[in-house]
Amino acid sequence: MRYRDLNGPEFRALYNEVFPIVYRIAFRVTEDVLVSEELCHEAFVRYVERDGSFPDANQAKYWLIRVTKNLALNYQKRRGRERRAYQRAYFEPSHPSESGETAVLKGEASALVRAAVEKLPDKLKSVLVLKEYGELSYRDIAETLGITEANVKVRVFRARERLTTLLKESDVYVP
Amino acid sequence: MSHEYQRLSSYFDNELDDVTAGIVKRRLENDKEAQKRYRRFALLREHLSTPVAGEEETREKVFRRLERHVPQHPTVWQRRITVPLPALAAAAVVLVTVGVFAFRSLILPVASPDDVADIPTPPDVDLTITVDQLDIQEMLDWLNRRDMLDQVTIELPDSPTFRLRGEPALIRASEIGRIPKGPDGNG
Repeated sequence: MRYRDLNGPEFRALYNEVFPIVYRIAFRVTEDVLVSEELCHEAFVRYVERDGSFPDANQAKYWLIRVTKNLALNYQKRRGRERRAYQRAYFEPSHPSESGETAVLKGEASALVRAAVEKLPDKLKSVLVLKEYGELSYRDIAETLGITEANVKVRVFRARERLTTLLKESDVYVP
Repeated sequence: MSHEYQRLSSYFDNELDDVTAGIVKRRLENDKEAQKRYRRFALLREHLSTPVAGEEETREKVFRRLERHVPQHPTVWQRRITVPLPALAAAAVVLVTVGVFAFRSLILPVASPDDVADIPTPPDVDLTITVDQLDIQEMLDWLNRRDMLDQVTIELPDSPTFRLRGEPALIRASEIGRIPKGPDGNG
């Protein structure tokens, strides 16, 4: 199967199916169009230059999603470290001074929720990112991460529970 | 209880079969805690599922960059070929064999009569020299010049151009030229 021939119909079909997913993940993790472009480009370059072939288009799709998700989370982790170093250097507070309710009213709650996602353990973060950012089904998440659907179900629930705890600690309003 | 909320989480994601979804739905209508958690899941999703900007433009942009980055018509040297291991091994054996023969024929010298003349010949050494029939006269002259050999055995090739007459004669090198002629007048 020629999933890596850029001019072939197989690759174009795969690209059109997968790009919206990987871009969605990259953009929602990084919130930056240019960075998302770089991450998606990097993922597809790795795909084209990769040794070995995929048994079917689905395996290629899951591979691309996994690589993009890892690239985006690694980028965000690196950026978080740089931001913290910057804050330390200039004595800036690491949390906004407003209360949680005010933050919600000002529309900053989303940023706080995303920041809380970054604090999740990797196992929980991966499933939540693929579920909420990538909008993937449990089956697709299971295939992408190489785990069972039952495991995905448990991890998604635990990630939501942990996220709620983290947000309550950050004074963000959650029902 | 945790299992019930886990099912609620799956219900929120629309991942339950119809029967289980029906059960969770009925519970949700009457259970305040379940309703609160459901609202929580919805709020988290609302915060996380932000609108995605720039997807259409980026899709084409990345594809064009990809086309530039990856050559679609690789040159001969860039082309990847796959050779089975047995074929590769056979090719290597053939290559080595041909190489050895080529080395032997090109590098190792072929002895000429002049080279033979330079070989020291100590006494009491049995030496067998195979000489082309065209060079026989030259060989005999050389043996005459040396005058060192006790005996010379000449084995004529089994060729239709020769006819054997009697037993091969044992002669001294110094006696060449004094061999009695045969009945037909030849030596």
